[in-house]
Amino acid sequence: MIVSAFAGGSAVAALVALPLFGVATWPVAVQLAISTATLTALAMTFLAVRRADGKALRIDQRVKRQEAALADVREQLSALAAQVGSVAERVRDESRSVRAALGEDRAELAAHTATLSAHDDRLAEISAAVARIEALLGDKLLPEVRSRGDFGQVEAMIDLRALLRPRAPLPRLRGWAASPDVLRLLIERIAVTRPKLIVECGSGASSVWLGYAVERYGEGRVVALEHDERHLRATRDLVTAHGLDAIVEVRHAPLTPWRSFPWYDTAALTDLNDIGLVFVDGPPGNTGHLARYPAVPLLLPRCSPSAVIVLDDTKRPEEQEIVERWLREFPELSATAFPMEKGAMVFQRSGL
Amino acid sequence: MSAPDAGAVAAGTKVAAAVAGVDDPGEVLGRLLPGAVVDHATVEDLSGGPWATAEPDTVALVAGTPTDLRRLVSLRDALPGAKRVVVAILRTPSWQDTPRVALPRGVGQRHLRELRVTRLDATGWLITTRFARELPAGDVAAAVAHGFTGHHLNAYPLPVAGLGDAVLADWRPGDPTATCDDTPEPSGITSCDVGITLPGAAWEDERAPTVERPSWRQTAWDMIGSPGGHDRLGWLTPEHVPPVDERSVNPRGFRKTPTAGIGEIAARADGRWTALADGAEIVAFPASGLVTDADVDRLRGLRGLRLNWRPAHSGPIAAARIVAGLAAAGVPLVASRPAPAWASATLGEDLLALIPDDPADLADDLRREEISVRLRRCALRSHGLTARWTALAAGAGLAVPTSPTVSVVLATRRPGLLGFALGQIARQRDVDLEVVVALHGVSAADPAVVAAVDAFDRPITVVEVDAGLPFGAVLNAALERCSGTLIGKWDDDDWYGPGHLSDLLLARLYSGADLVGVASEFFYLEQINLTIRRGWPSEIMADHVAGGAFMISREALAALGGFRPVPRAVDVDLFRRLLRAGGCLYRTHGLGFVARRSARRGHTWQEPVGYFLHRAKDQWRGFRPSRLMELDS
Repeated sequence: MIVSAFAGGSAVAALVALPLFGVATWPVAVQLAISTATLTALAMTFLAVRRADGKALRIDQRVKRQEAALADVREQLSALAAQVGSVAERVRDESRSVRAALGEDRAELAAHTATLSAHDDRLAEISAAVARIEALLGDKLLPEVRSRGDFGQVEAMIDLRALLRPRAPLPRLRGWAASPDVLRLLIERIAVTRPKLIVECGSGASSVWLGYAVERYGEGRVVALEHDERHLRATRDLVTAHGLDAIVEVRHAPLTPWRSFPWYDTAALTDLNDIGLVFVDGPPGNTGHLARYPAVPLLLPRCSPSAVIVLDDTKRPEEQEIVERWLREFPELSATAFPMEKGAMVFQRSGL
Repeated sequence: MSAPDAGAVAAGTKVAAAVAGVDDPGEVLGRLLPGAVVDHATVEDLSGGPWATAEPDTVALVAGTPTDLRRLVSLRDALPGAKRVVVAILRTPSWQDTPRVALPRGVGQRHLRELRVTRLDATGWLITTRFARELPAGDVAAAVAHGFTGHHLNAYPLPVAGLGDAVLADWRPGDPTATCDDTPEPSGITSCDVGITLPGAAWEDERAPTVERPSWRQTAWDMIGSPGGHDRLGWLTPEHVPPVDERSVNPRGFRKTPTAGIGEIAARADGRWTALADGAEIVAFPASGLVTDADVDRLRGLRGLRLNWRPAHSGPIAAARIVAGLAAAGVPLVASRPAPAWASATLGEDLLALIPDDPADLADDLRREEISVRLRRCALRSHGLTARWTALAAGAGLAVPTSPTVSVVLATRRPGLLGFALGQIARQRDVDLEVVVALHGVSAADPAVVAAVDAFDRPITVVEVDAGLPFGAVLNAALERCSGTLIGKWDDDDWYGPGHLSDLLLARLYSGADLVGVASEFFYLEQINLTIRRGWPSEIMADHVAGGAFMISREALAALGGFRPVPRAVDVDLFRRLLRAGGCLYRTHGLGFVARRSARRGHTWQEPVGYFLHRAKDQWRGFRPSRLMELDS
């Protein structure tokens, strides 16, 4: 277009210069110049319009392309929106289904919880009933059971009296003294093993009963160790009254410390050998901690291989500790518990 | 659905429509009222506010079934008025009579200028009315609904109910005396005796006691399963289940001999229960759990319906409502055991215990009907509207009218049978009764009479009647001594089950008939030691019932002049006169009654044995009553 303008301008200038060369008159030259200028202007306008049109065409094409792209995007978006809506609806439905299922389960669980609570209540009722029953047992039935225990003791006493037929009255048993059931156990042992020497730690009515047993079943003797002089005299009198002086010896053995334990003076043991039966029923528990513990360490070396050691009162915690120590310290011993009134444990060397 | 005849509603007419029990109201209204400008609201939305159409030309009440129409009746206060009222019922049970419009005389009927009743599709009805002046549309709904039942009054002998929200209409369906406005009246008299509101909703009139009951939406499973939903479990009690509309959903239409096998309740994709038969859907229960009379009618052909407890419809209350509705209608149900906890909590163990778990129990027609009777008894007495509101009123400290007393009239000329008859009356359950014995030519001093009367521990009156008087006059002599609200006729030699009178009371409760009686099904032919069962249809409005086992109000009997003083056929004559006088008879099941036919003279029935044998549907050697008789031999 610049070239056209330049050419047009040159042409106009040339035409204007024609009169100078006498080729044409001024009016003609001017007219020709104006016409040429007009044509040039028209040509330039045409070229400008054409150029603008080309641009517009290109812009239009671009717009159309963009519109098509936008339409695609719109379609994709609406498809996406529909998809999202569908998913949201499905999620809502599924969420409702899940919540509904949860609701059903919750109702069921709540009912089971209520049932469990009811069971708890019932359990509490049963516990209370059991407590009431236990109280009832304690108040009413246990004395009866105890009286049944008394019956067992009476039965044992009848057995003792039927077997041994004492010749004089005897002090009552139980309490501090040995119980009839333990005595029966001892006498059964005497009847079976017929020990030559029986050592009793502590003395009392049991010494007399042991004497009667030896008199009836054996040919040995009974040595009862007693630390209390008053008690010593009483037992000796009792032995004499029953005519058992030849069999029963109530030997005074004051308590003296052995290691840390107060026990019968070991001097009283010097002649005691080949003991067949030891009945540990003393010293009394109030004389010291584990008061009866020294019996085995001190007497076991003096026992025959088949000797039997009977420990009374094993229901007491202190005696139970003594049992544990004996078994621990003298592994050759084995023990058998007997459910006597106050508990009794029989020890023997293993393998016998 | 085809469009009704042109002229029901002109094009361009402004119509306010209330819709109940219709899945797609827009589509239905478009077909029903073409060209009309319709503003519609469903039952659930009626409490939403004033109608968009302020002064409608026509009010249209569109109900899916008669049961749905009764829900609109209770919302009378919320419905607009117009000179033209159109009532459309889309489906009715097959046994349903043609509707009639029983408006109050002098008030509504006086202004009625035009009434058209036309068929809508196969089983629907369209009732078009035009009045001389504007009338509340609820009155027309009540009049149409009233015409569907046998009740003389469209009300209940219960405290007046106030509905705090339209969605609670299901709690008192078919009762136009229910109110929907809790605003205290300036007169100082409360608008209702007891109000029922949604939980936490406001109730302005503080003078009236209220009880809170949730809508079915509030007890939907997803609400219970949502955070905080645990608290809603406290609503899982029978008292929170909307009552069964016993005047609409009841044993009426029961079929003794089904034509199809056992159907099944299954859950649709949306969780709603649907009843299937051979894989095809028969009934889709709405999310609210409402069972309608038309739904029940569709299930009548089934031998039974098996319940699948899980998943349990839209919610526990809605599911319980379906089960209670079906049971009250006597649809034989089968369900696996144990039932889920929600079912025990909402339906009660008594009802669940009556649902057998073995479909084989329904194989025999008689056993099937026995199960149906036991179910309907229990459901109606524990989930029926009267039962529910009686309990609700008692809970609110309101006095509830006592159940009607029954005077049992027993006429006999055989003192030897008096002890037998009184023994059977003595074992009647769930009924407050007295006995009036008319001794026909027998002395009250007869040792057999004295012994029988002494052994009877309920109120008893003995009347001596001259032997020369006819049987009808003997009965009338006994009637003069009766003090009960109802009269029950009793024969001296027939067998009655212990639920006989209470079953008649129930039938009277749901049918509203002037006279209810049992079907003469079972006969024991003493001559040949044979029990037969005749095939009389039962649970229908009928023209006759068993002569020795019916009940009628003392007032109605008096209006008919009592029994005619004739020697025989007094019962048949009474039935005929009652029907001609505009009354109605309802025949309930006959499983609790066995008539004795023996070779003797003087019985009111003189037919020979062959007469019965030819008409027997079943026969058994020996004495074989139904189990409902509860007789050992």
